[in-house]
Amino acid sequence: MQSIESEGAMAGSFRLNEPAVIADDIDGEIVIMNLERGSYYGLDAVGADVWRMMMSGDNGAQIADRIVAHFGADADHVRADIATLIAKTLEHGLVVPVESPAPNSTDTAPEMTAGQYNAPELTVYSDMKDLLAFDPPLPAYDPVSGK
Amino acid sequence: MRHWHEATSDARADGGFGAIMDAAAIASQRIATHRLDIRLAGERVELVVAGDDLAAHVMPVFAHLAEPDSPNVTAERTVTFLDARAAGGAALPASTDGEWVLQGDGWQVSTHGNGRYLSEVRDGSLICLDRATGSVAALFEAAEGLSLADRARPLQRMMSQICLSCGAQNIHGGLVARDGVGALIVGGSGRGKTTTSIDCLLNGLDFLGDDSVAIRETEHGSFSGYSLYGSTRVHPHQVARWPEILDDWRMPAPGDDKALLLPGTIAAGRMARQCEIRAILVPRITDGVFRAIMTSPRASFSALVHDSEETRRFQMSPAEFHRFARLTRETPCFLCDLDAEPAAVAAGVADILREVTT
Repeated sequence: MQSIESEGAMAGSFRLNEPAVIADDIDGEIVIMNLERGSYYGLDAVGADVWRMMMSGDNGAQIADRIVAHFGADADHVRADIATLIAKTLEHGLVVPVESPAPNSTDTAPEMTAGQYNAPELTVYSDMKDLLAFDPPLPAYDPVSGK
Repeated sequence: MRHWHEATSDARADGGFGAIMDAAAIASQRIATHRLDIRLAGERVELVVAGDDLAAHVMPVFAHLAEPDSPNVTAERTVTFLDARAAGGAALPASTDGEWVLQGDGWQVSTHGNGRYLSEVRDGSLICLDRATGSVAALFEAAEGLSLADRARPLQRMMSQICLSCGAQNIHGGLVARDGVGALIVGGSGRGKTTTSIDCLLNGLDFLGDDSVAIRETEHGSFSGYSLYGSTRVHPHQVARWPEILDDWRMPAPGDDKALLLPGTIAAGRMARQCEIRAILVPRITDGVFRAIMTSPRASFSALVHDSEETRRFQMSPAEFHRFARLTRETPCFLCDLDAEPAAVAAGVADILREVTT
């Protein structure tokens, strides 16, 4: 049985927690950086599938349905895995809930990884924290407007 | 003539920093001045160094970036270095009031004039970037007081902002090349970036940098790499690795932690200023033999975003982050175990460059 938090994660839609967080797709994996916390994360192949669907507006239940259909994996396990992953991305401040998500359709769903289903994993590279010696961003200046 | 210490207290005009740049330009006309047109991160820059002693330190660091004489081409910006004592100026301010101020151990960065001027103040130096024109005034209290770190990288952390204003991105990494094809060497401090760069320099490859270089994305989606400084620094215990250049190092004075080498003084013909980046190397110091294995783009990305206290940069923008991602997606990356023998490291790097070229 799922917890109330898990049910919230499965029902809600999310977006990238900009501007503090930036992410990109690198050869099938997702790298994510939380600039405010100076932390760095990676998502494996299935995690990257989940992330792309989250970024395209799917809620947790829709993502789980697509994963089950694509990989033929056990629905209960997949729903639990997706709920856990979404909860972790929220916990680390990587995404924020969207109040009124735009409807998504199967036609626009991102392509998924080929191969076997493995529980999606968010890797936290905590050893990177001291190496990301970022200072706060410089105030912007536009030479054209002079502001 | 107004001096910088008067200018910084002048709150009426540009927070005083426009006046500082004017004062530096005027002061530079009063003493012996050395000029050189260089290409910095792809942009033409007029380098002006006022003061013979300061020029003796600064000019060799940029000499390899010299442009051929082109009377009809004017530089887009000027970088002026000024020996303040030689110019008869007063002591530089230890700090300045700014609209936005960031302070660290012995340094302060601040903005002035509604963000137009960005200044970096350290003990004995004040560097000011005019973000409207891209020009720089770098004032040093006295040439003889320069640390080896200042001699090696006289524009300090302001270089990253100069690169940005040139449309390039400063990277904490080394860069070597062969026939214009380059390998970017990345990883945290102490991982072997400098060791790899010097090994290559002394064994037939071109040197573009060991710790601070620039990249620029071309319109075709490839990446060009640029040399910024013709200098390299290592901890004193490391110099024994290269017995043939043992006498060429300037060993650290009290207050410095690293020895300085100006590669252009020992191998001017191997100093390059630009290349196409075709490989990324992540070195690892070992006692074994050189071994290179291809690694994942994500591992390459992780090594690329490593930073250090010395090269610490401002929070990267999304554009810079995505540029790093594109670079690691497009460029094969190799994890390299370094060899105890420098020639073997250079041969291994040359093999990688040959492999990615064919």
